[in-house]
Amino acid sequence: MNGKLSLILFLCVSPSVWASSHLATTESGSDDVSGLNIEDLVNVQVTSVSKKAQALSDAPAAIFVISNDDIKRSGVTSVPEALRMAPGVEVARINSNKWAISARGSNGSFANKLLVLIDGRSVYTPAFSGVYWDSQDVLMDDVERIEVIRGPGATLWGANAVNGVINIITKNSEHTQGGLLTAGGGTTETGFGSLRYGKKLGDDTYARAYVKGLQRDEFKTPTGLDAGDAWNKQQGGFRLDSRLTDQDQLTVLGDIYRGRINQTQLVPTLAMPYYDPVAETQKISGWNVTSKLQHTFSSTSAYTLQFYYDRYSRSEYIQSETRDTLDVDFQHNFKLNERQNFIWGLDYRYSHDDFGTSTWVSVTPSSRGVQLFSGFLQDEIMLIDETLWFTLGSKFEHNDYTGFEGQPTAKLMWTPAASHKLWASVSRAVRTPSRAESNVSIHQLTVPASPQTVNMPVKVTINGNQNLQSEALIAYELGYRFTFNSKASLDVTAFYNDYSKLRGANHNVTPQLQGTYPNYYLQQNLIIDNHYSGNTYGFEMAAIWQMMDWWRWDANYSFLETNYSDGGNILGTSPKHKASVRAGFIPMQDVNLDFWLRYVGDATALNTKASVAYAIPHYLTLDMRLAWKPHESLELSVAGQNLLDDYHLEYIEENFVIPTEIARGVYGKVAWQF
Amino acid sequence: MLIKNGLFYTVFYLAIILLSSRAVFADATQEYTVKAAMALNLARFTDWPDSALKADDSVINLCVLGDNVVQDAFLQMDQKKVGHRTLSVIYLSRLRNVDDCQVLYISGLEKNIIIQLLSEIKHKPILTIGEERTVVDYDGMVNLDTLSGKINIQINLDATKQAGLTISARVLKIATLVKSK
Repeated sequence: MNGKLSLILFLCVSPSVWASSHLATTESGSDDVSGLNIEDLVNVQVTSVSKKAQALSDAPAAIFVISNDDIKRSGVTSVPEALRMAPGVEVARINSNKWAISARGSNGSFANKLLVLIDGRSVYTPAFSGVYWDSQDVLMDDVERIEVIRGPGATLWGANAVNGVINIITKNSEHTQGGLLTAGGGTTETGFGSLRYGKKLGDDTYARAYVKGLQRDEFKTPTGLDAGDAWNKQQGGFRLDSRLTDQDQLTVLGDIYRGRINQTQLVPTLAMPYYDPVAETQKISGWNVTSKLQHTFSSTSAYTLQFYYDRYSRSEYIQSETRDTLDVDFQHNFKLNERQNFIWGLDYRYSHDDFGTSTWVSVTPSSRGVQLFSGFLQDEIMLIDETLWFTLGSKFEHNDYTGFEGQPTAKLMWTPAASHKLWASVSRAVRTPSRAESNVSIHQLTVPASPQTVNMPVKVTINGNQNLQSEALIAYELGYRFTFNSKASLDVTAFYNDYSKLRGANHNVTPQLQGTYPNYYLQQNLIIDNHYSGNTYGFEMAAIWQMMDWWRWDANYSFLETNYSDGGNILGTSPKHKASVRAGFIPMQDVNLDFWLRYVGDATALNTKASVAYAIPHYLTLDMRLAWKPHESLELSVAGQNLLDDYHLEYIEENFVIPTEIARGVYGKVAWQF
Repeated sequence: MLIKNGLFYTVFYLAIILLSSRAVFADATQEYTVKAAMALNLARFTDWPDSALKADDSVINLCVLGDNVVQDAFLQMDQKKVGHRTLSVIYLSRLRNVDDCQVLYISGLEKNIIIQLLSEIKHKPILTIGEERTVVDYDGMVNLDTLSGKINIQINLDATKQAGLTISARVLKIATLVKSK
């Protein structure tokens, strides 16, 4: 504990000490150069290190950007782990290969209110309204930035962006020329490697291709047994960017992957002890291709036409699924007049699935194609010159489950000075029902025989509901962004979310006697319905301080209060407090040293086996990375993850997956550019 | 526990050692402070045709397209003297009233927008200054190119001539001359 304490003390106290001794000298750096003549100016040494610290987003929304540099210096090896850097986002690793990720509450491995896009392609699956995080990967070195938008981004992004949108944006291939070879390995990251090569193909045409592979070790159960959740994945892909004419830009990109995921699931049975642990290897695979044409009519008018096709397959003991998705999207933005900017769009999506049937899970019909039509329009009106803007918009969609859905939003943005931005918004958003919620039947668990159950086991089955309605949200947000001086910025957002028609299950169905002598059991059906409601409120603060050219702080804190009408604690609640502090040093020209301390407060997770939720205790953890560039094209690094404990628990999945604790990990990495 | 403490003390001391032994970086000035000062100087060394300035006008409009970092830096240049005129810094968030500008500083725009914007104002007497090669490639006039921590001035003379602007030889002497694509 002493080690832990002294480190925290060091991280907390040192900035003020260093600041007092160094701030004076750094501030004098911003001396008055306007008096210099032009011959002197071309010889001034300039720095742009604090640009990110100061730049304030122009959007009236709670945006946090994770840059390529943040990804590299934090030492994260996957998108889910990178998202831990964002305020208001809860990332809970369920085991080695599964994550539960949400924004502003309602977390779960089937968290359904966060939309995720990779280069414009939605990876939110309509199968269960969520994201299969084990299937989503990109070459982390090629990510330009990850935009994390908390709150309903519904107007521009469509349904299901209820609590947030995550935009993963990879670099234009013009900026990934040449080769990059990386290789590494360690304890939890058993081994990983990648090769990317980019080339100029024509006058204004660039392309790149990559392959990558990873192998991750298994974790442990709370009782210290091997969790059997090791996995491996291989992926390859390409991107082409071509300027066809001065007005037309074409981008084509695609990926293909396969993975083998070990898992142990607790599968319910009707005989003692009423479940069987099944150890197996789940197979995942998929491919996708996206093409995007951007035409620029003028400096104030442009359209994009995007098409993508995405296929994935997953196969495990209790279920299997193959899904094909086709999407065509058109967006046009233009200046209506000197005061108004208008943007509108249309989208068509067709998603076709094919489910396997097992003793535990059946989807009826087993194959179905679902269409989604949507459109949106948004008008941004400047009320006072360069100071006050009003934005009004709405998305309209028609889906095969609930029909028409409207999602309007109104926003006001006030910029009293360049370094102060204040905004407020009111929006409505919906989360449309998933295929599972409509058509599934799952043998969820077996309640052991007891005198209360007339000495018969109870087979609990969750049944989909074709009349299920969309979950709805009215969200109120207020945000303030400002830069203190040229070195620091602060972003504060407060929100109040009012949910209605939240998903629950109707327990008031009379149990039926089933089976044959002597194996009688009670069949208890639960029908999915919309009977819950609730509200959440909270605030998020994110600060960046470039204390010195070689020392930078990134800190954020999120507070969340959850009130669901579940008569206590059934649905599970996300942590009330969450904090992250990163300190990045450049102690020598070619060395980077980074510390990342995270705190996640007490939480609970939905427990289908009992009437109260699982308790997930709070945890504090630390990541570290040390990198050295002995040569311009070579980087050697060592990273430590979750260093403060041998193992800690972050989440317990709703059903089947055995509780698993996250292990400390250390890995080394070599990156060579050629 | 002993091992754990050992690990953290190692980290702790490693950090201390690295930080205390660090080489001191050369004092550097913020990039945009210098770029704003350069824009002011470029305005001072540019002659506009009479048609570009109203006869009684005593103001040079420097329009800035860019985020708050850029805006803050250019604020320092507001009301500075440019010959017998005064520089007026104007922020444009959404490409409004570009024709009223004598100087246009372009930062943070997407490449496709830059290309269209420059083609729309090609022959107009607006001194266009940007910070990426695209600007001078597509008929923009000046590119402030950051190379190894210093700002190099690239000038597209054809573009200035077509717009009727004259940039002083004093600036051309220290600039790199480039041509449109």
